[in-house]
Amino acid sequence: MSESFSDDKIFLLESFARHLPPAGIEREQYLDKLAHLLAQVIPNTDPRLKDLALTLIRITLFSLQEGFMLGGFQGISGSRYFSRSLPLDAQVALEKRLTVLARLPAARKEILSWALKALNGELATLLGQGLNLWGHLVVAAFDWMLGLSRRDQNPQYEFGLTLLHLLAKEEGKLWPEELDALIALSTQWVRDLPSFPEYEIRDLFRCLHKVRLSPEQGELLASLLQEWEDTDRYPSERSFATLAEYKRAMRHLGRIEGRGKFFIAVASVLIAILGHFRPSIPPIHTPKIHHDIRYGTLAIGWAMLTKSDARYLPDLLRVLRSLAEINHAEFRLVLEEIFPVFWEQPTGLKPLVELLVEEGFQRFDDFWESRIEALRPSFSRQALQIWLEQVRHKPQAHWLRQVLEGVYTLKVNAAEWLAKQVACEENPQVMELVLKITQRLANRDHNLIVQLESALWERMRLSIERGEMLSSEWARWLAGARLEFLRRGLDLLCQYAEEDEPDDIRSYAYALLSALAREVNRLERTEPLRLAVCWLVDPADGLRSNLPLPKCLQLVGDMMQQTHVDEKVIGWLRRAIVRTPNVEDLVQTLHAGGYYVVNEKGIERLNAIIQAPDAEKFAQVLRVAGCPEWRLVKAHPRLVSVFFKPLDTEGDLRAGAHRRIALARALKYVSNPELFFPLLRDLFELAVDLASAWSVDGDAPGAFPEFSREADELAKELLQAVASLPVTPPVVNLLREMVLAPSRIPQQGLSRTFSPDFIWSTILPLMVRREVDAEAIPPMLAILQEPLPPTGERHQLVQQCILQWLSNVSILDATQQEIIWQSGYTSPDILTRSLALLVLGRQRPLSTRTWQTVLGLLNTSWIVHYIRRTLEIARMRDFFLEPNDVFLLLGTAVALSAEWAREKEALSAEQFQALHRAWRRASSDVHRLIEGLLSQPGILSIRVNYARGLARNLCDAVGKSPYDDPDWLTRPADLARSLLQRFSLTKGDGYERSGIPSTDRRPAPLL
Amino acid sequence: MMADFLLNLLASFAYDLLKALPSRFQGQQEDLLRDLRTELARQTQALEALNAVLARLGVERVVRIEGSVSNSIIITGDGNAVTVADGGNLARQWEALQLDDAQARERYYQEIAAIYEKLTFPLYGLDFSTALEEVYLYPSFHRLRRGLRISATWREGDPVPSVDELLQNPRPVAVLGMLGDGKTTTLQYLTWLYARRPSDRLHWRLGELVPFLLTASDLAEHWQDETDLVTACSRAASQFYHHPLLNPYLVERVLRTALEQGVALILVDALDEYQPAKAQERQKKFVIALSQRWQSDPLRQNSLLLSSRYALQEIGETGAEVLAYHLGKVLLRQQETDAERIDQMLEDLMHLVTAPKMRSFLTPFYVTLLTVSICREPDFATGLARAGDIKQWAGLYRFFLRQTFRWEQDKSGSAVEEKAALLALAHVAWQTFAPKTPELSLDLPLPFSERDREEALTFWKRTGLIWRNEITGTWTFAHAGFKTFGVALWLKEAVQRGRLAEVERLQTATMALEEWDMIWTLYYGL
Repeated sequence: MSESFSDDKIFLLESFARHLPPAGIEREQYLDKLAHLLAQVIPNTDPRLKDLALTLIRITLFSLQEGFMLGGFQGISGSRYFSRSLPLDAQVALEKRLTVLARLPAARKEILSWALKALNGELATLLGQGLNLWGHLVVAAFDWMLGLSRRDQNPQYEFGLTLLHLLAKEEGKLWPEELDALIALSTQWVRDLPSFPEYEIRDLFRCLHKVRLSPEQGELLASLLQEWEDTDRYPSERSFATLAEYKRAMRHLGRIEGRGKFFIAVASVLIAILGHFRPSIPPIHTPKIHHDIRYGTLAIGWAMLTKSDARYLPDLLRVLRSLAEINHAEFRLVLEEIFPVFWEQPTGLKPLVELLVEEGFQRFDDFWESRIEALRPSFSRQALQIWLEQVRHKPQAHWLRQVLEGVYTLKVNAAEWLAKQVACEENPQVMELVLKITQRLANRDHNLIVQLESALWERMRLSIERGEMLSSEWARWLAGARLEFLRRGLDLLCQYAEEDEPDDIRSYAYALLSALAREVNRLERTEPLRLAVCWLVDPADGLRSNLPLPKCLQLVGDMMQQTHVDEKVIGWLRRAIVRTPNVEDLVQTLHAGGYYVVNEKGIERLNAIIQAPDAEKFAQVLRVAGCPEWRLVKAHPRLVSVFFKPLDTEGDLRAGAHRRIALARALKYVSNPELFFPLLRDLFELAVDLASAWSVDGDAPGAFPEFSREADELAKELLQAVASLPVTPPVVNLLREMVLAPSRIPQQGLSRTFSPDFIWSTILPLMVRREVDAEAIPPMLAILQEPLPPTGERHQLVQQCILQWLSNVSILDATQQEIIWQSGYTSPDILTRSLALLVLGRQRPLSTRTWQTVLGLLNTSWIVHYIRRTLEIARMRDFFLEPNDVFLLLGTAVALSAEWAREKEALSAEQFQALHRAWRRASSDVHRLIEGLLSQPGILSIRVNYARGLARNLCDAVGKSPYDDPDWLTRPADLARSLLQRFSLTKGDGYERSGIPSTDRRPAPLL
Repeated sequence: MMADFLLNLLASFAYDLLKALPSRFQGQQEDLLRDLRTELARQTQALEALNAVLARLGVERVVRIEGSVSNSIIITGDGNAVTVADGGNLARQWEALQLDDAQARERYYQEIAAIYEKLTFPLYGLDFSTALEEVYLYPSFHRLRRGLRISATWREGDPVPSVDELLQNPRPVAVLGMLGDGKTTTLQYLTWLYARRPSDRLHWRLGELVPFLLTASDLAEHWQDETDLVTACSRAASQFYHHPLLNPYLVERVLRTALEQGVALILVDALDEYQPAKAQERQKKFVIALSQRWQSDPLRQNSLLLSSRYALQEIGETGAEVLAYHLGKVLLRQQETDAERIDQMLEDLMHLVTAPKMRSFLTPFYVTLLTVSICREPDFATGLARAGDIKQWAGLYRFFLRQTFRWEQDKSGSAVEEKAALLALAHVAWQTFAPKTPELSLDLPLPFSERDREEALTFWKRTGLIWRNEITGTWTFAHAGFKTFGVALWLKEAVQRGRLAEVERLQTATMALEEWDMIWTLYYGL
């Protein structure tokens, strides 16, 4: 690069900086761009460039620091692997900019120096001034006013850790001077603080967990860890020779804990006056616990080192072993945290397995399993080979399989190796694992499993051809695999199931087909066609098709040619819930129960009853025989076929229940609602009958828990299916009936199943973007107008569902909008009100009242909203409501306005400008501060599920993902800030329309 | 044009023939031509029409056409012959017309599989060829934030649908993705897959569905002049981005049969690159018209897959790793035989592409550029080290282009200078770059002759980096990324030629425009 061209680039960068907007979100956005451009000119050492970079990094660091100080920005201390809930947009943007700038050496140095000062509580010294005293006062005032307890986290410390984390993340390595500085910091802490800084050092290690250290860096750190292992030399509590030394240590501690100068000064005076000098800190824990904590800290440190270099494995294992011997609980906690080491450095697995065998550890409980899954296990080829080897040799170490089953991803060469391994693998446990891994990865990345699937298919094909027995895991894999595999598999089995085949071959095929029919019911996700196909090929003819198996196989072959489901397929599916009891089954069951000796005459009578159902007569027969189900039969004659089914092999449901539940689950994925609607209704009636039969079972209420279990499962799946359908009048009525069902079932049956939380978290999100038939609107409005009974919680849930559906239409006339206004927006329930606002805001043309309402919400101070809501709650005397739920309404208003801004036709230029001004007001620092305070964990947190449906509905407009934690909707000021950024460049007040800054704006220089 | 020419030629030839032979034909040559046209309208196949007319007029079957590499020779019964210097095209068409339906489909399968079996971009024209099948990366079809959805029944939280599930969908499906996400490659892969039908693969109705790959702009262009969508589709499917690939008559014949049987798989690429005047409105109309037409018989029984840009998606570390691994393996096997060494190289390669510092290169396009650049260096370790030093996007483009230049120069011994070649490329990029501000002109003259420019562009054409439409003469970049880099190069050229003030004004004017962000990023990285 020529020098003159370099000069030209610097000239252009300076020109860019000169043309920055004076303030606001646009300025932030341009600063982001400038950071990107600066980062492109990396090799340049021109001092002008350095000045520009330093100025930009300091602006950014200061803004980030302010965010931490004034509340709202999320810290990372103590969190393993730094999983955070969604941080504020403002924080994300600043951290991103810092990451970009961290590529510049000067900027990186600056970040490190801020981080070190912040971790030592000396940021004020660096900045040469107190840290936003006014900000602190405002925070304190709010704390006092809202009765909030002070937050646990020290913002300065969190800021420092965040900076270190960003530095480590950016390049995945630390520069030598950076590690030196960190070692110096931790040495200083160990030397100066009154007690050994176990948790602070753990935080440092955690910050660096993704860093790969050079061998020299590793040695440096290793020697430090070895030193600290000497608890005599480095005891948990220090002794002090003099008072001055003690005061100095306490002052340092105070700074790190963010106590402030005033606090420290007062404490020092008190110590001096009272002569309260202690030569050592009073022990909080017993020496043994101190020892455990030290070993825990060291294990985390060695684990961090081991990730970079396997030669530290023995040290890690030694420390772990010591820890396991002295404190099993701490050992398990630490182990959970450092587990990734053993798939990144798998050579250490064997000794770990042995250690855990010695400890008698065999399997994770459910809680641990999910924690391990959260670590996203990823295996290289070598790691996979070693882990599978251990599975073969240590079958009792079930935890190995649990980790492998929770695999998040495989390295591509590992997947390739596994595909080759499939052909020759003899160990059934390993094969089972491979099938489970394939199923798991199939939902995530097809690239990794294409070869694996083909290999499995080939192995299965050969096994079938050789007549080798295949476990039910194989059947489950085939049942859930791509339809083409199932199609080919059935084609293959079709040949073996022919009448003229030898018995052993036929029985082999039959066994596999039976397993297929059973396993398809256990799949998490399945389509109706797949169910019909797998059920039809069941040699036990569970659907009672009365067709020979070869004929069934031929039939399913035709069905699979066309992927769409027609009346014929529905007909087969309907048989899963057939109500007519089969006399043979009935007789067998009665025999098995020993209640009734059925002779020919008895069978004739039963046959007659079943042909012309007469519940009274039937019940009478059973009563005479002493069969306890006689009461159920009398009360719920439609359930006869279920009552007399035996329990399934697992003993928790009646035979056939899994099939019915699978069908209900599959109805969520139908594409033709008209066809499936009757099926859905029938299944729901069955669920209600089962719930009722369980609730009032004559003399022994709740005697058949399997009915309740089935009813719950069915009801859950069916309500989800209804919520997923296009909205027509029958669908509206069915939904109403379902949500209100608990009020007509004895003992409030199904009320826990259809709990408000379930409706908010699961049902409302499913109703987003459903097609709504115009004919369904009047019945929906009629439901909204129904008076709420005194205990109208379930009716309110129905209303919320209706409003969520109505948010999918934009054609409501003025009268209809008035109904929404009256029945929804005036509701004291904030979710109902927010949904009503959403419905009104979706109508076109936009009514003046809706426009003014939204604008009014945005232009009014958050404090006023909060106080109004507090008063409203006080008037209602509802002690469960929390006034900060008003942020949900405000968030809805902001996100709704984003939708308007996206639509060119929705707003005039003047309206857009007014909206822009409202966003500016809404995103003020004070508003962001209030949100930050109220969103602190544990402080008046808004129920997350409450916002889920609305968040799903509005996420597109504000650029959020449907997978994001819906918290963002309860942060209206932060949301408004992001909208200013999003919409400022494309549409707006003269500045944005052309994309060229208008001349009346004075450009503000950066420097 | 060719069809008209042929028609006239054949009419003239047939007229002379009929006059020379005792036949019932008494009309003029124009009458014969009209007859032929009528026949064409019904059958659309010129040569069949000729045969039919001759047969109807009582002439025994006396025509046959033979071909060579350079010519087609029409031979009459009396031994006379007409030689057409068309590279044997006519003979091939004639041969195609003699096939029955099954043979025609098989022929089509073979031809289409051969065309799409290579990873054509960005390696097209380079010495080593890479089988698409070996390196293809299945895309992740995520739910879209806006616009079209994958299927009506798919919900958030469901497993990510596979290509199979897309094909099973009874409704037309759109594949959306960002620049370099692999949309075109996906469609090309599916075309190859369904044409080649490899026995070790199981995909939805593989062996039954017949693939037809076309671009939206080709389809729109042909559909304007042609009321019949099927004919328009055939014509579009016989070319790709205006480049003739196949015999349109063969394509039409196979397509019609496939549509009737409900086994056609139509893959329409680059909806976003169809940019007619009044772009948005007409594009929308085009999609609506296509969608409506698709609802009618027999089309609705078939599968339609469209691709366009706009969705937000990143390949992710796993995707990058998979792509680098497969592509790297193919490339390294051409240079290295030691399997263990290859494994180690691949480990190093995967480690590099997933390193935190390479985070900004996680698209299939950039991963491809990186992998190719590393693997085609004479010494792998050097390639790896050089790639590891790349910190900016501009660095990657520069590395790749310089290497491509050297590669092509060594191969062809061309005398084109690197600087001139890059400048010519930048010039084309600037000229063809659409979102320019009209008030700021940076149209500078090139410091070399038109002939040199032409030579430089032909040089790049050989590398597959740019294509030329033979009819309009316009240049097209194989990938929009190269065009963007070219524009950045041109800005640098402008600054170096003393147009700093204009470039500064341009920067100020485009500060807010997203489509310029990448250009400026590349510019500062130069």
